[in-house]
Amino acid sequence: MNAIYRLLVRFRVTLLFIVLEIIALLCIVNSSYYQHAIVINYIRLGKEILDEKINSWRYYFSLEEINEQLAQENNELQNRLGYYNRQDSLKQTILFDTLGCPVYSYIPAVVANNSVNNLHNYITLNIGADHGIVPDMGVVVYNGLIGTVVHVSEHYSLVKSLLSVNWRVSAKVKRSGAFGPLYWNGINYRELIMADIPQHIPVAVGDTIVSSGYSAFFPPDIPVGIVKAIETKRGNFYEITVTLFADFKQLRYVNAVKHLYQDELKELASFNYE
Amino acid sequence: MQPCIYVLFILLLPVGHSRVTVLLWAFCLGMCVDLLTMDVIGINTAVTVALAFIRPHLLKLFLPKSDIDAFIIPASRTLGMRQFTGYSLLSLLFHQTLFFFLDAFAFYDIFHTLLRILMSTICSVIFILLLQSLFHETRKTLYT
Repeated sequence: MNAIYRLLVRFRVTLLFIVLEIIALLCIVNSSYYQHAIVINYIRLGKEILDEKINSWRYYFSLEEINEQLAQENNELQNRLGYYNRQDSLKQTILFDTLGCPVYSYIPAVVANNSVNNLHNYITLNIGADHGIVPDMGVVVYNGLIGTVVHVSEHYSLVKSLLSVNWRVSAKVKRSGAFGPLYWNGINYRELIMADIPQHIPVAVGDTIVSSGYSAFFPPDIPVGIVKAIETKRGNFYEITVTLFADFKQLRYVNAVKHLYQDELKELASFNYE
Repeated sequence: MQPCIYVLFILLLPVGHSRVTVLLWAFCLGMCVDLLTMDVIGINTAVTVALAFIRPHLLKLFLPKSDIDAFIIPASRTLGMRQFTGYSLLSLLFHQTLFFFLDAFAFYDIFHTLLRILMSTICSVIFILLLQSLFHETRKTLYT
């Protein structure tokens, strides 16, 4: 007994080191997002308020840029409106047919905290459960996809950014309609990779990539980026490098998107054939 | 590339502190940093504790033999600028290497991971040296 005790005292530093490392590694393995959220919810609340204060100052100094961006967005919307008005007068009957309920509803939000430096990046929005945000909603801007809501508190929500390695969303080449997964490789925050486009489909540098609308997260036809380079990898498929339109470092105004029939879609997709 | 400045706290703990104390301090510090960042809890803790564990061996390389047990703070004004730079560079290199491999949790895209490690080590060391020189100066003016 005495010998064991002496052994413990002699190697106490190494033992303590091993114990602390085991605790830390257990933390890493166990911190699935949900538990993490519960533990640090209170800490984050304070941090978020601070972040918003700092951000409001930063916002004040970049007003000019934001004005320009708003004007641009306005212009874009005006163009789109013009397009629909024209369509309306030409094919009124068809439009009547397709004029059901709107499928997507948008909730405007302001970014309270943002990062692009990690392998898994998160964005905090200044709206939460009180404003009708629920997990699994998509977040978009007029010229790009941003991410998906993963956790909601009363006044804030946490968005898993598209800039997270191994996190895929569906997108398509606008010209041909061919679709494939779009993901980040962790290297450049202005570029995403689009994979699984078969080689017989014509793709050229400069083509526009848009969202496909195949998942219930994002509405279809939001421009995402343009093709920067095309490589052939793994046999018959292209691997396309896409330059993003949206600058993740300058995000401020975003829209959370709610698919009104998301539950219905999920239910249908999980229906098993008997 | 993220400068990691909180490591300076561990670097500057007095040499004569018992290793148990240093390990516990490192654990607390790592936990605080982990709780304040958005990512997985535990990465900073594991890495900082590991750094605290090998710190005496690093110090042996840069301290004269007679000072090993003395109660001095291993800062730039006690070690000398050159020694301190080497000390912080080695420590940060160790710290960042462990950090990025734990963060990626795989040898995923090894070239870019190495590049990241190198860049953030250099960046952190620059910031740490700047902070050090700041205190270096204030002490001098205080005494004269």
